[in-house]
Amino acid sequence: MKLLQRQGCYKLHQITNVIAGNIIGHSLCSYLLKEAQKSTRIINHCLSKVSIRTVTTASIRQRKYGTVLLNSLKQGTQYSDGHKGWLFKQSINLFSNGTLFENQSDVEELLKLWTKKFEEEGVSEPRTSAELIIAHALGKKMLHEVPPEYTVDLSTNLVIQELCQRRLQRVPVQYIIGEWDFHDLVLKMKEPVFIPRPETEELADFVCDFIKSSNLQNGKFLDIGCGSGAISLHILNSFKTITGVAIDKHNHACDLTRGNSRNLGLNERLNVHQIDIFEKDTVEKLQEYLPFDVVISNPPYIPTSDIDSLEPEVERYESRDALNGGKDGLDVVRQILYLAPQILSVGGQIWLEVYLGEPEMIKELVKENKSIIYLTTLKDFTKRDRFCVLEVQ
Amino acid sequence: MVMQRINYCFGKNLYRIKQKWNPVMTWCKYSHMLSAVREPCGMLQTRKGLLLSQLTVRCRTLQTLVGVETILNSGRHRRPLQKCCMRNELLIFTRGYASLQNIDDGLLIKYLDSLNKEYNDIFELYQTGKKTKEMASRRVFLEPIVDVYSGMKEKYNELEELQLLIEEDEEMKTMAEAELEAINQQIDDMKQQILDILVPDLKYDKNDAILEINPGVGGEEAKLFTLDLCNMYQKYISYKGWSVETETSLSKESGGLAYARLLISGYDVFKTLKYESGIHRVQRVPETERGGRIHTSTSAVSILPQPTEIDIVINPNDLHIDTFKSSGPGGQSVQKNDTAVRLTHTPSGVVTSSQESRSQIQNKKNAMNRLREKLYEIEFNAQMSTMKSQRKVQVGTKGRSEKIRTYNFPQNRVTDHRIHHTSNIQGILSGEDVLDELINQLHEESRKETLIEMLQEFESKGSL
Repeated sequence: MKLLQRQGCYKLHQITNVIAGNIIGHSLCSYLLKEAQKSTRIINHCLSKVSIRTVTTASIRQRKYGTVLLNSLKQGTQYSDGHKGWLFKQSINLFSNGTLFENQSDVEELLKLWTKKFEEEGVSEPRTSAELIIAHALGKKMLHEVPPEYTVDLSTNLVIQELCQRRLQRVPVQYIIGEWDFHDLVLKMKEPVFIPRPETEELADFVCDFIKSSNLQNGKFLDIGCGSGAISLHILNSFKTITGVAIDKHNHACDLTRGNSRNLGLNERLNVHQIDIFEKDTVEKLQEYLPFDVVISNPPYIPTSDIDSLEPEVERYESRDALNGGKDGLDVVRQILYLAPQILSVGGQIWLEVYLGEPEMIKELVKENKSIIYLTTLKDFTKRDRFCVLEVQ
Repeated sequence: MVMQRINYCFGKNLYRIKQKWNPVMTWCKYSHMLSAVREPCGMLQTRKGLLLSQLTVRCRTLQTLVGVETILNSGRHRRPLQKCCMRNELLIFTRGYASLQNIDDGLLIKYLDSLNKEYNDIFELYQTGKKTKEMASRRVFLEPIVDVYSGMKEKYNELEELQLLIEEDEEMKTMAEAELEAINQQIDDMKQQILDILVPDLKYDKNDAILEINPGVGGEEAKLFTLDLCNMYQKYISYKGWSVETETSLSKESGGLAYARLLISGYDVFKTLKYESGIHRVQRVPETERGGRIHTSTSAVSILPQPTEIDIVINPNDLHIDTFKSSGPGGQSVQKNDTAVRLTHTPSGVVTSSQESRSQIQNKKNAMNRLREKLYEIEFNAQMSTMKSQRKVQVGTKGRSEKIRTYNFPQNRVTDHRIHHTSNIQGILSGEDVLDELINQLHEESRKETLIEMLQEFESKGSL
């Protein structure tokens, strides 16, 4: 920054900052910026400082600046020298031939446009992706909340463009819009923290039923591998007196869980710790909370051999550590079962979500084990065995 | 059965009511009048105190005489007791049992006699130890009627004696006549009680309700009228102290409503509103009309009881759940953003779906609720169509296509075509006592018709 100022390019820095923040997604603008990048190192430097991530969330709040910028570019006689002048000239060109306004359209048109584009690029779920992104850019959850004739203004249009560009790179919609629903909660989502699946919603529901039926409303639970904190937060939201501990191997997941719990006002009853359960001192770290009444986990359970055949959304963007369950997919499950007798009270239960076929393998695992018994297997909404319930004796 | 009736003038005698009611309820805040209720020895069957909060609203808005009726003896007869407590007291007290005037007294007594006989038969069988389930339930049903009826017979005897007295003794005449009137009044009261017991509640009367209003013929004007109706019902709902969730879709052009759906919950909601179902017609000069001509448009109101989970039990095995199909192993290996859910109920073939939420499980819950509503509607319609009746006041789908009411703005009147009752339009649209009175009259009319139907059936069969 100081360097830039010294070079007397402060104004230019400002412009590029705003551009990067708002109109980078527009096809012509990105072209424009590309040219600018080529022609000047300074702009290049500025751009490298603005990460695309900030674009998506910040720009929605500040999208009006996009219009302001374009307006100032339109009148911008003050930037008439050098590269600035080039930018100015380009923008005047854009305005004079009306290219920028061509995209000002209603929701229905936009939806068609982007659905088609996604289809062409082979993005999965083209229609819903486009719907969700457009709705998000308009500040809504779902597109049916927006009337189809609603006219999208220019700056929003540019935001949508930017977000959809990311979808074309197969980024999961949840990461693009930065949030997702889990039961009736809205949770923030952040790359590369694992996105909760509908099966996990079911698991959380089953656990809530169990807590209710065995009167553990004042109990304590442990969520191993909390990710975005979805399971813990749903339980805390369902029972007003229960307390919990959520642990994850990664700091980014712990931070996200903390953030989500704060947003929902549930942080007082949830302790979040960064703990890798494969480390030897796990039990000592949890000492102050012991014993737990129930342990819930959606551990990584995909066998390593299957990892490479995953969809690009999962494979490229979600944390491997949240998916890879080792050779037979049971590495983490084994460790949980090893720890369980030390951290659970007698009669405490373990609730797990696992891969197809794994419930049988787990049954085999605990056959020899005297301290843990296998209680039951529950089915998911596709009526396949998905959830395991075990109990410590 | 001993009945005590407490009639108080609200306002002036507030503290007297308070004293009398103290064993019956907890007086919370004076300003809120009757805001909380405790069940006195499990006798007053009030749900969440709504009865009394209703009363409160009435008192506040009407500022008028309130009749409060309560039974202070043993809780032996649940049924009549509930009845007495739940009746909309005010009109019954002030309008003097209009509903009984057209009923053939002789036939009613004959009917009651046969019921009495039946009860005695059952009682004898009971004592000999031959019990069946049907007998037991019949006995529970008959017992209060017989109780009141025996009281009524006593009164009739007294009445005869008095009449003899009047004929014999000229001096006693004035005194006896006053007493005569009192006894007649008591007999009327008892008849009313019997009427209440005899005309049973529908299965769904206690349920919450879903009220839907759709504009019919008349374009934008019909949509504007739909808005008026929706406002009217919302005011009525707050007048009754119910709670409501509203779902509307606004028409852009005129600002009217293209659709309105009110989920109403509270005390006796379906029972109260069930006669609102039908076509409501409006005659007025629309705002959009420049020539000053009067237009006629309609709105269709339909009301359905809201199912509870207990009413409709859905076996999970009967459900076929469609979600976004993925061929793979599911779980962590699939990352989808399509959360739409479609449910198929295999035995009935009913299909519902939901895609409102980004959470699949929420969508599933929504779809389940919708499925429950649909199955309930089917069952409800089936029950309604088995109700044979020539009644003018019809309930549910039977009367849905029928024009029930006209709102005539130029003549400032609302006419209900079923009972030929006319009220002023502002009163009705303000959704307070005038509408309440109309609804109550419909109820009385319906009750009367049910009773007449019962008596006719009894007459044609000769016995039960």
